Amino acid sequence: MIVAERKPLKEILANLEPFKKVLVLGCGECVTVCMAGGDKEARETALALSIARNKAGNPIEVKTHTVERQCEPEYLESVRHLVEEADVVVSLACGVGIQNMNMYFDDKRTLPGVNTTFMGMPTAQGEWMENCLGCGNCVLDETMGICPIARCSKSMLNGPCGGSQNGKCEVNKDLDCAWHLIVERLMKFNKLDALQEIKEPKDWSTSHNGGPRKMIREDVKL
Amino acid sequence: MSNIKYDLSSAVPEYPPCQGGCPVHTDVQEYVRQISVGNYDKAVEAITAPNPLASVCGIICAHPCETECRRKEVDEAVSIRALKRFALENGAWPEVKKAEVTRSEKVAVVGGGPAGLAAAKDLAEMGFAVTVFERSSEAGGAITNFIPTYRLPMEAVRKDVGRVAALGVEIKTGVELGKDVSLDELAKDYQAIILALGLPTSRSLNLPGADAKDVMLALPFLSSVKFDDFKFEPGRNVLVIGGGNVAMDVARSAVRVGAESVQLMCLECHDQMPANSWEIEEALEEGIVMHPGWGQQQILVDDNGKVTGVEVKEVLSVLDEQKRFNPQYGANEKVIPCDVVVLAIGQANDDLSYLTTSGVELTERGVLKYNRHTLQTTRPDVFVAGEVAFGPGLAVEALASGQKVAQAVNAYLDDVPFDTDFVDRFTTLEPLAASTVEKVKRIARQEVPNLDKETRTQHFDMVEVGYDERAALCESRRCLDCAAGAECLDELCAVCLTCLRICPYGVPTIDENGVFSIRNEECQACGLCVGICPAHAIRFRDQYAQHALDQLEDAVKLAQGNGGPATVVFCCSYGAFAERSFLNYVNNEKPQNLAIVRVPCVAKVEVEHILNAFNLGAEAVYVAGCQEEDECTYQDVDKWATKRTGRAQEILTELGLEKERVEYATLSVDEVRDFKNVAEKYLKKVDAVLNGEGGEE
Amino acid sequence: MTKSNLQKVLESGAFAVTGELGPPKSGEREVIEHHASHLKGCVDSVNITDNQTAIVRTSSIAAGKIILDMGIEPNVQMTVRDRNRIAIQADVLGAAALGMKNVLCIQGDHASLGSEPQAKNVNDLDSMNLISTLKKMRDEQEFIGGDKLDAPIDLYIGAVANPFADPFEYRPYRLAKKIAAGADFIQTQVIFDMERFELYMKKVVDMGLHEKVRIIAGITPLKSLGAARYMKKFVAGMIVPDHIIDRLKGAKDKKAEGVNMAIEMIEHLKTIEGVAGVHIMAVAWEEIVPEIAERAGLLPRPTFD
Repeated sequence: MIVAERKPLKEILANLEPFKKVLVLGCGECVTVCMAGGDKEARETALALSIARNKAGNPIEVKTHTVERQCEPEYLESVRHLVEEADVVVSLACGVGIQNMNMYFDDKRTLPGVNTTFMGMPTAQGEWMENCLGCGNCVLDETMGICPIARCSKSMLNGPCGGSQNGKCEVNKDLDCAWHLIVERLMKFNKLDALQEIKEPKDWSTSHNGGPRKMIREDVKL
Repeated sequence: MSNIKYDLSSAVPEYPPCQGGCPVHTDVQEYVRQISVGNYDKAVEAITAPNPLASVCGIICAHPCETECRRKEVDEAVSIRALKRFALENGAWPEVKKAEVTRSEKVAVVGGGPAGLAAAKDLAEMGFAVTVFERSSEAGGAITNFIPTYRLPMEAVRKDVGRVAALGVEIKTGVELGKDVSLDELAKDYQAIILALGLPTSRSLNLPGADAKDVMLALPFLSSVKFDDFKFEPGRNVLVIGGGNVAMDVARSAVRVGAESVQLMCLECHDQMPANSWEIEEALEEGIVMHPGWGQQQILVDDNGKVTGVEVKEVLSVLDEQKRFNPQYGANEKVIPCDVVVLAIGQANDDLSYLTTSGVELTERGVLKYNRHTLQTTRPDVFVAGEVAFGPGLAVEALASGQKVAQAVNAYLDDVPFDTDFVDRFTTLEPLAASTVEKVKRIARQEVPNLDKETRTQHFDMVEVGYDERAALCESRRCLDCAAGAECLDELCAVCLTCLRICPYGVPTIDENGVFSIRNEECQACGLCVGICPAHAIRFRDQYAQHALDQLEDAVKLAQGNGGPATVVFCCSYGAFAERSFLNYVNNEKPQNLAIVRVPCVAKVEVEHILNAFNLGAEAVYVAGCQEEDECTYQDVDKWATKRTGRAQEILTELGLEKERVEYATLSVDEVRDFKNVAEKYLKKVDAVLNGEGGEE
Repeated sequence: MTKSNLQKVLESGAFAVTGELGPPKSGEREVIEHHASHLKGCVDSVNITDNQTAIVRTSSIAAGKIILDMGIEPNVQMTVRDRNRIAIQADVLGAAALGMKNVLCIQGDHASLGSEPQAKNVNDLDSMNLISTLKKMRDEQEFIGGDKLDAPIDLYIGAVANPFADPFEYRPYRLAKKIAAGADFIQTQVIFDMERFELYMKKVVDMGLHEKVRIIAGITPLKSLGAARYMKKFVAGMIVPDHIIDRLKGAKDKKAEGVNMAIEMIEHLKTIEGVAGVHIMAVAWEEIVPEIAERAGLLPRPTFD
């Protein structure tokens, strides 16, 4: 899923300075699951904004609502009345949803209320880990299911680098060295020999480096 | 009233086990919860609503609710009956309004015991003019006539009977059917007649020596003790035959009326004695010697006609394989010496043959014939209720029977069909899953204090002292709130599994097919999941937590504009926070700028509630939890309350407000009792923070 | 094909000595010349670091050209951190055009550890890819994308090895992989934990790797107790055993003791099978290198016509 975190309230407040009526719009999917932009966060954010504006002597009218998925145009129609009566929308969806809001309601501005951080998963309650970069060319078959692109700080194909110590990455002692994990897992399956092969430079053209990506499936297209 | 909405698609309600176990389906969960938060008036309301003999049940009910209580899987059942008594003695009773007579038909109820009174109450509330005919001088039936006052003071019975009368039910005492008035005579004035005659006759034994002078029957004995001031001559050694509750009443009364020694024998072995376990225990405490598992062969009488003992034989089994009464004896024999024998081996109805001339038929054994489905006798306008129909049972079962017959009579007079199979249908919860039982906190049951066992046998004062406030508040917290807690709103749920990860009881699960659900029936209502669900997709089936938090808005409004900065206290509502002293502070003594919102555990206070307080105009929020670790059923409270207040502080800091505006503390019982001081200190601190002096002490 | 001096020394069987120079955070040619001047005649080649520890400095190729002009052979370090394959291959051609032959292929410390923590880490290639790329450019005159070089280039391909990083058991195999990728010589991470290094070398020798590549062991003279502690604590993939710290702690003249230890280590390294030379990293203390080289019996350096 997509992981995000709420933007600092000061940033949101600065963006809202000229506005009087705000809709804080949550999204019911990924950002709900990662606890950044679901209905609960939407209500808390709305209250926080309202408190700040009251204190500043510049009260604001804040409404909140949450839609199933802001990244699907069909879901947005149900909030048309709320969007139209607001001066501006603060979206707690990921960057995808925020853009869809701006495209769908193109007469209204939708501002970001979260920073979209990564694709990942919860490793424990309250902890999320990045583990896919969406490089478009999966190598997990070669690396025993541990992604060296997303989880190695240097995205090495022929790791580990010399900065790996006690299974941790040189960037941060709290980060597992992905290559250490790969080596351990290869040893577990008695496949360390597989590392003898020198991986060629990666084809990054399937990733964002090939330009913004688009996908078309003729068989399901209308 | 708790307003648990179960399955709306079905007409069959689902009760918590206690409520299902209670024959009159008292909303036990509701009144236990109201006691736990110190709202005894509301508890009384819930107790008295379905039960015309609330006081009586509060004292002597054999509490089938406790038998069903799911906490017994964890440790011991909640002491529901004792809590009921506490509430009734400490809460204000709702005033009884005279029921308006809206129906032309009149109903006669013969017999002023529990069944009759319950039927009368319900019929009066339905709009009928009801007259109860009671042959004794006082209504109450067996409760009045036989139950010793050390178990049940007469004031309790009188209070309950008085409330039935206050509804407008006419209670005619000293009128005996078949003697003072005939059924046909009654039928002239009453369109329906209910026979709630009870089982007022003690059974005797066909045994050599049973006709001796000092062989007595239980009910006459109890009656003469209660009303005729019966006393034994000095030096009498009494043997009670029988192992039921009446036998215990007899034995314990005998101790109190001067018996030199009291023994008791019965066919059943100790574990199978039909008397309630606590009765047996208290009887033993009072020095009664028991001989369970012995069968009487003959009563030994000397030449002067004096009883010298009872010859008994060892009993191997009482019932045969078909569960029929068929005692099997072993070879061992002995003689239990005694000079008085009281037979307490069961009750029967009076001779009812006088009814047959009025079209009410009896069976060969002299028992009323009736239709199990309609509760009618062989005469359509004559109905039955209580023990006379169903045999010996609990008072509360008789009450339920009376309520049922009231419906039957109502249907009959409305000329609509009635079938007992279609009333009182309900479902209840399965026992708590073993995996949940494992995780529920063990909390010892509060013992119900009794009078000192050495001296209490010298009089007939009530043995049970009952709970004091502290004990009742602790005991009521043990309720597991079965099925009142979390349920998932599937249309909002994002299946993030947060609840599954944080629930201390493993209530949310993923089944073997990979489907997620919150097993409401296993929920312990701690509310941790509600407070963290990012989709607002979990709510409580019962609204009590929501109602508590809904007070915030009004409370903040009242706290504003009173000079000092409006400050909100979210505090626990249990334990010391439920005591009269604290409530008195909240209601009468707190500074006006303080808004106190009592919540069912501070773990139910969410970040949103704290922010909402500020948004409504509060300048500071104090969250006060309890330190009653041993009494609190909830788990991880401190951890989550700390996290939530911490998060609220972070948000305030982000907004440029002092984090000291939010404080979380747990208070000891003594601190709660001295909350005035705690509040003053915090308000001072708030003043300092607001004046820019910082919050550090 | 013309060989670099370093290649000649190593191939002659002489115990090689390399030095290291960290370019300044300025564009001052004379600073580079000053540091390099100490090393002249004491070493066979001088490594020029490439934005070492991800801190911005004069580029390694430019600094390499400056010392080349002084008659000192550079060993140009090249990380994959800051350039994609286009820039890297272009820079290799540029270095060759300027007369530089030794290129040391390294991954580079992560940018977050350096002076521009907000920088984008390129990592288009990894260090292994870089070795293969150089080999392909030299041996097949072909770029990664398949284009042909217009003319052959001379390169002596170096790679690094860190015997002290984890997982330890895997490290000799990774060395083998670098050899297979095309490394001609190896320079190791600074050695303080001699015991672990010997274990590592034993495995390397067992695998026969020392016959396929020249391994130059890294040495750093400790200038102070603080420097030792800093390396132990903060330098990624470095082990500084307590006995080293204790010895320094007990010494009156820390600098002298540091030099003594370096010399002792060089003497020890000479005895280890498979070690073909030492790489003396005395960055910002280049003036000590002549003394160390002298006392360790490494002088004079061999010359070739």
